[in-house]
This record gives sequence, structure tokens and C-alpha cells, in this order.
Amino acid sequence: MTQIVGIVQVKGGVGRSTIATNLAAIFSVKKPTALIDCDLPQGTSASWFAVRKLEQRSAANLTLATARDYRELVVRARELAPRHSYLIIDAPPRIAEMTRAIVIMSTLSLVPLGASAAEIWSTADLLTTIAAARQYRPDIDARIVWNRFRGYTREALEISDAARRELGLGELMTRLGYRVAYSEALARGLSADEWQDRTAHGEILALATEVMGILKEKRK
Amino acid sequence: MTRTKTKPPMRKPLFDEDEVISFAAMGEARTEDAGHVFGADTEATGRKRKSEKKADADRSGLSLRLSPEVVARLRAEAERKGKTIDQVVEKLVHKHLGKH
Repeated sequence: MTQIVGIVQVKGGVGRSTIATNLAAIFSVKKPTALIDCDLPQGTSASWFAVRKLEQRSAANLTLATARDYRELVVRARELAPRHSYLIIDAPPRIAEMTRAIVIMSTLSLVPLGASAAEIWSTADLLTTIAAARQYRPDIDARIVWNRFRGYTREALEISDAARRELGLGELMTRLGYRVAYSEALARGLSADEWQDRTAHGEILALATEVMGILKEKRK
Repeated sequence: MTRTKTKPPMRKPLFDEDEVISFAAMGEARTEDAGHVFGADTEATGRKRKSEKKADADRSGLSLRLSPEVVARLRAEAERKGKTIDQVVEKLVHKHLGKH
């Protein structure tokens, strides 16, 4: 059964494409995976895929698709599902019909969040959408992924504690740190586990393993 | 009338397409109501929207909170008759409330 992972967040620059491209690359090592870039015309995930092919990195099990609106997304997902185990959707940075569609069609929605007040404020609108989607589908599962997390600072720890109380969303145990390795790898069409930073390598594999574990539980 | 037998799908549906479109479109309606413009319309889509708006001018929207069972029955009936849920609801209202 195909499972859909939506990477959604209202605010721009929070790491949606970083997480989407890394999960797509790592998942595709195990099973056929499609990466659907809905953040057009920016198209970071689509550009990453193009560079990856130029660099002749393995993309045998990885398909790229793009969708400009939610109706096109539904069509793409329908076409890709029979041939892929996972669809990873990189959402646009705004609450519009596309984000609503991604939230309701995803097996698991990941919400990248940095430990800053501005990013937490901007998540409020997304919470409304998630709550509305649960009226349709009570099993909607949306979880925070802490990104660019500086766990050694008191502010990051305080803000993440406050977010846990205020936002009422579950969160992944894996936190991605503030590392240039993620942007360096993305610019070269690589996933962080193909790059030379061992810490980023470990973090991203832990994230992929955790997400795969959640999806495996949902298949039961 | 007995319905013709069809083979059940072997693959579990990925998601309910009607549900996705309907939920996403609620956001679209809200966006238009609020007067926000997220992207410039092309001339063609602009004309299409104008004609859709003209056709919808004598219609108005209503949000209902119904039990999942009723929603499922409405969907099934609409699908069986090849109509939209709006048309099914309108027909039911005409049939049952029209005489009062």
C-alpha cells in the first residue's frame, strides 16, 4: 500500500525541501519512492533532483513529479501510487487549497519547525487546518520535526517546551541540528547521508528510520 | 432495481479523492471570500472564473455538519446517480419540503 508523507509548514525557509529531499533519497534506497514538488515556481526539490541526475547519483528508484494546484496533485498521486511505495510531498509555504489537500491526503504530515517564536506563531494557521481536516479524517497524524535545533541553548529548550504545550502536536524524537551540511548536500543533489558531515549523516538516518517506523505501524 | 455486479478493487484506495477536493476547495472558497490573491490569473482562467461566477450568481453556499453516516449515504447516492451532492440535496429538499 502506498503511503504519503506531506512536509507542510506555513512559513518559508523552515527546511521543508531539506526534509523532503532527504527522506525521498533515503526511502528510495529501500522502496520505489516519488517526490512531488508542490512549491512552484521555487521548485527547490525539483532542482535538487535535476542536480542529482546531473551528478549521476542513483535515482533508479526515485521519481520526481510536480503539481501546480491541488487538482493536479490529486491526479499525480493517483498516477504514481500504483508504482511507488512512498509519495513524499513538498508543500508550498502558505495556507491555501494545496496545503489543505496535502494535510488531508497524507498518511503522516511532518511540520518542520525551528525553535523561534516567529516560527511557532506562524504555525497557528496550520493548526486550524489540521483541526478542520480531523473533522473529515479523525486519524490525521501531524507531527513537528524540530529543525535547525540548537539543543545547547536555553532558549531553544524553553521554546520547544512551550511549543509542546501550546501547539498540541506530537513531535518526532529526532531533531535536526543547525548544520551547513544540509544546505551543502542539497545544493549538490545529495542527501545528508551521502555528504561528509557524520553528525548530519546520523541525524538524517535517524529521522528516516523514525518516520519509516511510524509508517510501518500504520500499515498494521 | 438490482445493481450490476462489479469486481471490487484489489488495491486499497490511496485516499478519498472527493474528500481531498472538497476539503481543499473549502480553503479556495475562503480565500476568494477574503479577497486575497495568491497568484495572478491568466486571461483564460480569469474568463472561466467570471463565467463560473455568473452561473453561480443565483446560488448560495451553506456549510452543514452531518454525521459521517449521512455524508457517506449522500456521497453514495450522488455517485450512483452521477450527480453532485449539491444536486442530490436540492432534489431531496424539493421532494420533501417543496409541498409545504
